[in-house]
Amino acid sequence: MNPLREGLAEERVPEPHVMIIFGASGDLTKRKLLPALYSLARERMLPPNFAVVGVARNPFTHEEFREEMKAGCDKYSRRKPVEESVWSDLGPRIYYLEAEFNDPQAYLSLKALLEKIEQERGTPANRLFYFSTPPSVFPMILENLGQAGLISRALSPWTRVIVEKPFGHDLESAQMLNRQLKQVFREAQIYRIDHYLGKETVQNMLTFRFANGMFEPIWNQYHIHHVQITSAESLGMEGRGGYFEEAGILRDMVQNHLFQLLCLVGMEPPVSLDSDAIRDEKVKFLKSLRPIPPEEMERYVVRGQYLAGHVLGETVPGYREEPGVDAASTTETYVALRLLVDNWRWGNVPFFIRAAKRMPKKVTDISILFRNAPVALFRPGGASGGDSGGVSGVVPNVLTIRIQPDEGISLHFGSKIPGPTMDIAPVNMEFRYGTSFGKEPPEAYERLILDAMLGDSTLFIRDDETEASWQFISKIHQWWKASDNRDIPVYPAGSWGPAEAEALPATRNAEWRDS
Amino acid sequence: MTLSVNHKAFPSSDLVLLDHGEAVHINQVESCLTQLWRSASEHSQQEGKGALALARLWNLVSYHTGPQAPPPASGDDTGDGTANDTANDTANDTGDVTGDVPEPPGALLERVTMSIPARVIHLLHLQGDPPPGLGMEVEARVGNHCLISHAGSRMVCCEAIHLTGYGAAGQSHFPAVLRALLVPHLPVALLWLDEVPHRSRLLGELLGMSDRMLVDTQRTSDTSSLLAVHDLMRNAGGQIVDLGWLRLRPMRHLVADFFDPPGRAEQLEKLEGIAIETSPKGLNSGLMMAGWVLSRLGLGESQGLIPVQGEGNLRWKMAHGAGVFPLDFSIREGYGGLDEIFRFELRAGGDVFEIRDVDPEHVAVSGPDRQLPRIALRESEEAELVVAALGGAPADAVFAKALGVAAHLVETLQWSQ
Ligand SMILES: NC(=O)c1ccc[n+]([C@@H]2O[C@H](COP(=O)([O-])OP(=O)(O)OC[C@H]3O[C@@H](n4cnc5c(N)ncnc54)[C@H](OP(=O)(O)O)[C@@H]3O)[C@@H](O)[C@H]2O)c1
Repeated sequence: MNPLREGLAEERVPEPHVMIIFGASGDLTKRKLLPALYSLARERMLPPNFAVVGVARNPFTHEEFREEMKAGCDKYSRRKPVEESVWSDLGPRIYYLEAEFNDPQAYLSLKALLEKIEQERGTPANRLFYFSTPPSVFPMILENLGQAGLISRALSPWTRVIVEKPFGHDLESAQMLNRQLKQVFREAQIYRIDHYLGKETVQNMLTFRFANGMFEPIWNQYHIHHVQITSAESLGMEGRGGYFEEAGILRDMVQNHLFQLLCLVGMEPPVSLDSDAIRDEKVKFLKSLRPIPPEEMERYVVRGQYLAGHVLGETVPGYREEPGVDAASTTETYVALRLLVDNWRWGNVPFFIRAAKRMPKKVTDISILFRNAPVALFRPGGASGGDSGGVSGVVPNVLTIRIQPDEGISLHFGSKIPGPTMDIAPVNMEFRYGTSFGKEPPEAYERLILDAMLGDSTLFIRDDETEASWQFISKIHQWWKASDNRDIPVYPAGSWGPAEAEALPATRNAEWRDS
Repeated sequence: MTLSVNHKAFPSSDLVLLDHGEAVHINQVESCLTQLWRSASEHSQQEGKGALALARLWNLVSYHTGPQAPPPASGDDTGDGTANDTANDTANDTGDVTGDVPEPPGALLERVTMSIPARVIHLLHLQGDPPPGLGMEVEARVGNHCLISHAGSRMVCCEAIHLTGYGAAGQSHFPAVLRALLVPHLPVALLWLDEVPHRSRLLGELLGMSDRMLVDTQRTSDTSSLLAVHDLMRNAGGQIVDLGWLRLRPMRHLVADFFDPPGRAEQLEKLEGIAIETSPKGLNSGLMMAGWVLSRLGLGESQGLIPVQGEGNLRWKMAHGAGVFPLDFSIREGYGGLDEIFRFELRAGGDVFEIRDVDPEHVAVSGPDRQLPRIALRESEEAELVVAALGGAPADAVFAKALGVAAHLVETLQWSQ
């Protein structure tokens, strides 16, 4: 143990290492990964002898790759333009290797390059691999890395791997991918990324629930009427029609991101903030989701597909008219689920979750709708009642956690309208991140990459978590597959989804909240 | 009321400074802030900037002494017993500091509040009598800084209250005035922008109201300030954060990196010598670096340290294991970057591990495992250090130990003189 490290590790600067990005000519590297590394460098969170190696097929030289990445940082980083003093330090530490992922020789070249960098920079052979490629090539990369002797299970120097989504396309493929990864890595070396967990507001769910004494006592079936989670996107396919055709919104958004939000809202308090303690609770929650019997699927799941329509002042085509999309496609661009949880906390409280493209606006939020006051002194309703002696306007209390945009928390409650009558108007109590903390929150990728560098896997998905969520989601896909001849409900672009989806909250005498 | 509006551009936002033109009476400060707040809202609406939010996570109190107040003091600062005490404070607080404050406190804290919203209260102590006609020993001015981010219409405002105390009597009002102006239920950070005095009633009182105190051991070249901070640590341990120590973080990382490869940490057991070269301003930084390494190795606090002084340098001999090793300091003029250290060398187990300035922003690193002729040592500006000091947890056991050894080095020097 290096005695001079004490205290320094707590300042969250990782040990010296090299990060190797497979798929470095791709969009993600330029838009997110390098801008995140640039921000970390700017905030002095990278060790001075850190280096990055990009690997992909394009024939870049080191210099061309650096230029390309600098342009990416200039365009996409949180602080633009790139500061020369930061780049003059980070730039020379970026390297590139042209490689076909199926070519074993390429991995020997990679090994030689890594050894050269480590020698020059005096870096111990700590290596962080980042698989930013389509999942179909993961097995090929894993096998070749192993054969070239680039993977070690040792604790020091360490080897870690960050794996991008999608993590499998069903339960079987996720299990297969887990097996392949675990043939060469220990689970503790694998960091399955879900960038939602890198968002401050999502992390704040843990703080909000478990650091404040006032919410947890009412966070249960006795006080909560139901929960709604919405992830709406105003955009359509943006050229990704081909990919989306294969995926659909249930795979693309729900299995990963929304199920993570669901876990954070619904899980039991962990015994500690240790990564496994938190993930144990998430898995427990996922396992307590009530399975939906196939014959009742229609009462729990509604899918939809957008037609042409109007969004934010633009006329947009329907899903089937998008490039790369089959003219008879049944891929869902909208999905809504009614979920029940079989445990003591949640009893019969339904969780309504929906995710969709081409909604009126972009918003991701979680709303907790509380039960009404037990004694009806005031009549429910909207605005002032107006009939004699009228006291009216009671609205349910709603706690909304906005993930994006306008990150924050608001509490919706009734207040007396000033004046001689006893009328009630709904008012909001707002907390906004932007105004309460002048500090700009880090991008999700910054936080997650830093955590992987530090060896903290709390915000990454464990093998059993991926499998538990696929276990649930794959059943829905199987049912859709079996009933594919049925018409898929439709909704005009710019609306809040198909009319059929209204039936889900109606089972609880509720409506979807127009977020 | 006059309102002056002044725009300053920062990379991703604009800072609007709203100032209530003239001095106000202390008991009008809050109502003036409310008025200013309304004016800021109107200003924001006129400019189409949208909603305005008042934000504060801290009460941020800065203290510093300024130059002699005009007109020149008419004389008698010593009055009754209380005034005598505060006059002592004044003597200690003024020192040679005014020239050393790198950035005016107002500008520094404006930058800090861009990251950490706060109610800022500046305490400025001026020698001498109040300006004629003021009629008070403490003068107050109020202002708002509003930050508008370029990306959106968000406008976040923080309040600033400037209090100027004239002479010892003016200074003695500070604690009570402060008690009245602190926002209740928010933590209080005291940013002490002067050299830390050895005994000060004012400092004691302000510290009693504070949850965190920020000092800077590198503010002066006087090594005895390490002793003063060490004393403070004993009384108020967990609260103290030293900006000088935070400034050393990049250098400490580089030194620690040498000993990560297998087998290197063991070499530290065979320490053969430490040599540090600093500018005169960097002497305390150098002592803290030495204190850090020695304390991590369990050395320094009780071991036989024998100081040997020579021209332009300091040397200690230190018993370690069976032998004695030297701890050498040389001091030369020049600018050694923000940490003011030109060279840090550690010899252990037959190898030399060295970090040497190439220029104020770059260093060369050389050790058995790596030779880096030029890498950037990204040191933090003062505002960034203050933000870091308010952001992190204050208690730092590694710092306390390092300071203990550094203070012991200074004490042995004093004994030998
Ligand atoms: N973009 C995003 O915002 C985003 C967000 C979340 C998750 N993801 C996930 O992150 C991963 C990467 O996304 P992306 O948008 O960067 O994808 P992309 O633009 O399609 O890039 C894929 C990269 O992999 C390389 N590649 C693919 N097959 C290869 C082979 N056989 N040999 C060598 N190189 C090969 C490509 O090189 P060539 O250029 O030579 O083909 C390219 O560098 C995907 O799994 C995606 O699902 C992306």
